[in-house]
Amino acid sequence: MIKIDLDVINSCAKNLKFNLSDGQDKLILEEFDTVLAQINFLKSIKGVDQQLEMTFPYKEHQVKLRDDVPVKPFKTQDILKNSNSKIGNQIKLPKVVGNENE
Amino acid sequence: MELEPVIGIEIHVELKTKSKMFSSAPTSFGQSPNSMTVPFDLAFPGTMPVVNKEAVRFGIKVCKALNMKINKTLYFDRKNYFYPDLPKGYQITQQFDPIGKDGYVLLETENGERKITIEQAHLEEDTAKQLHLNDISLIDFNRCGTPLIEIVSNPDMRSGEEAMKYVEAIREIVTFLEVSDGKMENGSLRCDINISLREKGSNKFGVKTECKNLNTISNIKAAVDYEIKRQTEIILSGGKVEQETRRYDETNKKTVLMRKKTNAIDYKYFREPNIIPIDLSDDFINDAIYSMNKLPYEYKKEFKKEGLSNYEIEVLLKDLYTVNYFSDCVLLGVKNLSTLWNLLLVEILGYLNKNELALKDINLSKESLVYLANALSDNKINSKQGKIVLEKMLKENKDSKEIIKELNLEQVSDKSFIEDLVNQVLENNKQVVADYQKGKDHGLGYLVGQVMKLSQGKANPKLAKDIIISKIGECPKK
Repeated sequence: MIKIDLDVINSCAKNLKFNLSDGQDKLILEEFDTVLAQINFLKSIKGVDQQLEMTFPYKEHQVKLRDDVPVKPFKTQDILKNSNSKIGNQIKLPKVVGNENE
Repeated sequence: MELEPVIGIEIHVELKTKSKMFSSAPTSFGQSPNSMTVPFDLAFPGTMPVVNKEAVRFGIKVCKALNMKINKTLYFDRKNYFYPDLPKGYQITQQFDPIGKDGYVLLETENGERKITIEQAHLEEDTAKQLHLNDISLIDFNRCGTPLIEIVSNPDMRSGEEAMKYVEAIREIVTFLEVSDGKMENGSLRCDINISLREKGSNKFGVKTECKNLNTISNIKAAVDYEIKRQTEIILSGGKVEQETRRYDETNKKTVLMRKKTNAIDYKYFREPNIIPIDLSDDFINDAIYSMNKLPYEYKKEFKKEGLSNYEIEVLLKDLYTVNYFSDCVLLGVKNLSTLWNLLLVEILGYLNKNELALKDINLSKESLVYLANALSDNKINSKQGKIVLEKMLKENKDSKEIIKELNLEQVSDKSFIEDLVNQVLENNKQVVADYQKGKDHGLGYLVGQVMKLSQGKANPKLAKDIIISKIGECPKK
């Protein structure tokens, strides 16, 4: 398992196009310490790797499917209110796929 | 060293339901950006997926048409990735228990019939459409959540031709089932092709490249053939093929590098907890199967039996509406299928293309077309007259029977009437007859023409020709 340190956190942030301000990386690292401690505790339970996750607690399945009837969609202007960066009716983002290999 | 290409194809088919896979947002192509969404598509907190019944019905039809085992319990899974095209941070798909498994299609290729096996077909949601500009990307969420069925073949194909025919076969099946419009140019059928080479006879797979951006059927053959040639050159010159994603550059007719694949992405798949497994009843599955349209291979078999050539069948099967129209005409009692084919696929479609119309846009009576086809095949009218009748049918929306009557076109096939005309012509053209009997065979056409002239174009030319030959004999061979 990869050891989580400040370099890993900053590298991930860079890959995900997040700008971390000073101190934020340390804060995230502290949170990881808590999360990893919990994971290590779970891993210490004997035979835990052999257990399947219990996604559905009951055996009952559903039989009903939704009829294919469309509803009135959201208004474009309401959708765009959720974005602080747009061009026309489209949401504008920094480009995260490059042409470097082309 | 003899190399063998190994090709596997993943095809994403957009299903033409009215609403999305897991939300009730409408699915309409070509609408204004970000005008076809509801809160679930935008991953608003608290919204939950609800499976579209019609998408499941369509999925069952596709699986049945591809000879697959249909899973009677539907499970969905999450494919986790962080990218703007799916705001939830994951795609709902069927990673572990697809709706269909272990199918096949049969292809007719230059090397005979080939069976291409299919590993699985699974239902999932499409992503939002991104437009990448110089340094920014624009997002339109209209496509986000549109139902897809992904059909994954085994690596059974061995050439560009087979890859092209496989995609064409899938496209025909989904369009004939009317579960998708199958338009590659609009992105409603998209394929990723994995291509590698290995030494012939080996069971081991070579390093593969994935080819994307293939928006026409003919590009598939061109891209695969190019990629086979490129990889062959690398291997034979002692190099190593690198695992990478490439796209087809239509302008330069070659595949170009998009990105290198260093590590396989771990999507951390797990069961979608917000969709409780769905049991499909036998009634539901059977109802979907019984309501299936006739499949392309069934039409092929039928038309072949009726005497159409492979070429005629291939052209006919390009459009479902035309096939149905043709089949209805056959049921109405057309006597010669090739005559009908020529009228519909050559004359009528030629007229429609010229006028930017489709067959369904015009009110062309099938009964009227069948009457015309039979009049032609019974030699009641000749092909020149047939064209005049058809033109009037298309332009004036008139019935063929009425037009033939109105123009007094119906051919005369009365033997004694034509014989009288032949006698007159032979009497007036003794020199032509003598020349013909010495070997000038073009004299026959002239004599038939004279009979036609005397009859004002109404004599049955075949009968006239037969009578002339019976009277003056066959032209001696030079």
